[in-house]
Amino acid sequence: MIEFGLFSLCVAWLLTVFVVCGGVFCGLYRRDSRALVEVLRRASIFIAVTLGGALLGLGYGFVTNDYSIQYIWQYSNREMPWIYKITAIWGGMDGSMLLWCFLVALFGACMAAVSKKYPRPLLPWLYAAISSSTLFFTTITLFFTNPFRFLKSTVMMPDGNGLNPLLQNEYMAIHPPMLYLGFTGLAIPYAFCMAALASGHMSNDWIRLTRRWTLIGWAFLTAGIVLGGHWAYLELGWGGFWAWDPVENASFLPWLTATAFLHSVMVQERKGMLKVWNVFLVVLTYALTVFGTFLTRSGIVQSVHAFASTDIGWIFLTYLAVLIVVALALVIYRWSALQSERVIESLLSREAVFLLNNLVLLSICFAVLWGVLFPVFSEAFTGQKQTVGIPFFNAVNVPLFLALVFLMGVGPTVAWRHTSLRHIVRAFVSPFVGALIVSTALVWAGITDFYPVLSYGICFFVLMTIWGELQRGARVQSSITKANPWSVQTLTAMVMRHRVKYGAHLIHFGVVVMTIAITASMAHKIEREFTLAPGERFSVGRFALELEEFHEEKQPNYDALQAHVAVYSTATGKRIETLAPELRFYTKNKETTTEVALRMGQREDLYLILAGVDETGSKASMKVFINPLQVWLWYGAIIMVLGGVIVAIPVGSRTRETSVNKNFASEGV
Amino acid sequence: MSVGLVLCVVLSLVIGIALSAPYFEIGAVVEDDAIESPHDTRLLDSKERLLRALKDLEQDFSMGKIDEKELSQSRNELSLELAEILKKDKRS
Repeated sequence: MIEFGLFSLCVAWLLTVFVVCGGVFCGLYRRDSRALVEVLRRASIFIAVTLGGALLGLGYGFVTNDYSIQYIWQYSNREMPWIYKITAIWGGMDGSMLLWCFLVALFGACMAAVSKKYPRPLLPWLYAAISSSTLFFTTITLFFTNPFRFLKSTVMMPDGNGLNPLLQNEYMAIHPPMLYLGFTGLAIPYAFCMAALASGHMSNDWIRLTRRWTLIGWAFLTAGIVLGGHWAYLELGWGGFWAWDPVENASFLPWLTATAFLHSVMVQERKGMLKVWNVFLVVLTYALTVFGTFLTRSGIVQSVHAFASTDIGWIFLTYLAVLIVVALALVIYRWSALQSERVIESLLSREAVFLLNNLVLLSICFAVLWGVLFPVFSEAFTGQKQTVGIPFFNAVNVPLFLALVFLMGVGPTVAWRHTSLRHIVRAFVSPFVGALIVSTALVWAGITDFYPVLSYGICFFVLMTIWGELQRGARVQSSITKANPWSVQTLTAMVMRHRVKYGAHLIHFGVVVMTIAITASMAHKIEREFTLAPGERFSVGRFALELEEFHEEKQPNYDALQAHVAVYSTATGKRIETLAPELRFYTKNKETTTEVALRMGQREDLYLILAGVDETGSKASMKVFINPLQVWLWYGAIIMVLGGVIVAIPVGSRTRETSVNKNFASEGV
Repeated sequence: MSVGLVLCVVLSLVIGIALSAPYFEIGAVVEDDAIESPHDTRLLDSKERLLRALKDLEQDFSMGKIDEKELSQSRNELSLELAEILKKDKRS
């Protein structure tokens, strides 16, 4: 099967070369050849099939412990449960690149599968553009990081090294694929953009189609980032979920630009404005996904996420340079078609707020990028590598984030073109007064730090504006259906009629929930370290912790020492739960890890770590965190992704001409 | 012959057949009559934008975001633009 995997990879590479060359040829000289376009479409689908075959071949090697392959020997061993043997496929650089190739190709295949109804002039360029991305990653996989290389040893290895213990976690099965789906999904908008620029078909089509594909990539990326945060929270044992690690930041950067694009694209769709800006955002988003891959794989930055340092960094940099130059050349070539058709008529308009939102998002992006690259620049200019830490990122980003959340409340409430002052007063007075009351009440209750109070106030403001929008929408809908504004029938009809609008409100609601959770867990976190002998107690917050006993456990690939800790409520004295934090010693890797014991609650998380045991084995050193409202961070993320899905659902399959004419008829035009 | 080798042969055959089929099914080159001219596309775009603007206007008015005076003023502007577009459309 290994030979089948390698063969499939080679065929995939040949197919990508064919689609790129064929797409460019067809776009330039044979636009009218249906047969060639169809061949390119089928070839695009087969790229995914063959790369799937390559992945299957590698997976088979892992499951059957084929240690003649260097990559399998390096990242697997016989004791590992089968699930980790599968996840080990992307546990190292070579396999992760193969997965990346497959996922880009999969998105390309999905796009090709539904592309028959796309505008014809775009098609050859579209296939060529997405395959150019696949070609780049397949070339790296095949020629530089080939996972099918044989072990340079004449003796058959009886067992492998095994996967890094930190990666032997169920989240490994879902976080990297989800994140990669997000990254690779954002290659599709780039392909649409390049196809539109190359073909000169700069109509609304590409921008509308791009918005949907961006949403899909964005939803996956959101889920991937949050899953990564959740994994870090459960596995790394420092009580937090986001450390502004360079690789975390690298995943966050394209998310910011994709979010900016999702807002500014609406302005282009409606007003024919911000065309160059949108092209810039799409290209920047894709470039940042490539940059993120470069960061993780070049060894340029230190990170817990980084793969071993390699010498393929220059290839990524060359590719980045090429894609920026090509995009720039196409923008200059199509400059006249990219001119705005209108101007912003009023600062009190939705387009003005969206533009402001874009500027804030790009400011955050720049600040994060600066923080990531600062060690590189400092080393280049001063000879000393200086890093910026969490305080820098928090100091710069907290005010910008709060401004962004505030704009989330303003944007949907104001009208396109111009909003009357009367509406502004009516829409914002109650939320503003409400926010002021909440902030004052919090200060009165003892929360005196500036940012937490401001954050809760802004969140309340946004919640009130969302509620106001819902109320007004329900009233309008009930005037049409003549039913109760709050009946299920009215609300369903309202959401179905304006799916994008209410999906966006749901996303904003999710962001507010997350903001409240982040503020609470940052501002009111309790952290304590203590040592207990069996029978002793330690009180923290609403809980009392009593060490009961130690328990040893033996698993096929590790030995564990568990501390059984009874949790009591200090208010009632009742026993609530037993937590069992543990220390694991991975016999093969000779590495020790800590496993967090977590009591998740709606009000707060009780997060317990067994830091160590004294020499006599009778006392345990532990660390406890109480993270208020932490669980709401994950709920907020689920709400966000759900909102993204609602917005991304296609409305129907009518052709554009029919749809426009039908709508004109319905408007009485 | 190993399973892997059989799969390699099958994959090659399937790809070869699937990729050459369009030339046998459709014919080598078909004149494309479905591709819109850039002029048609621009008109369609403008129509679409105006339609959207009208809808947004109605919606913003129904939600109380603009008053009646603004509604009628904006509507008149958009109607004029629309008339221009329809004239161009008719001519083309």
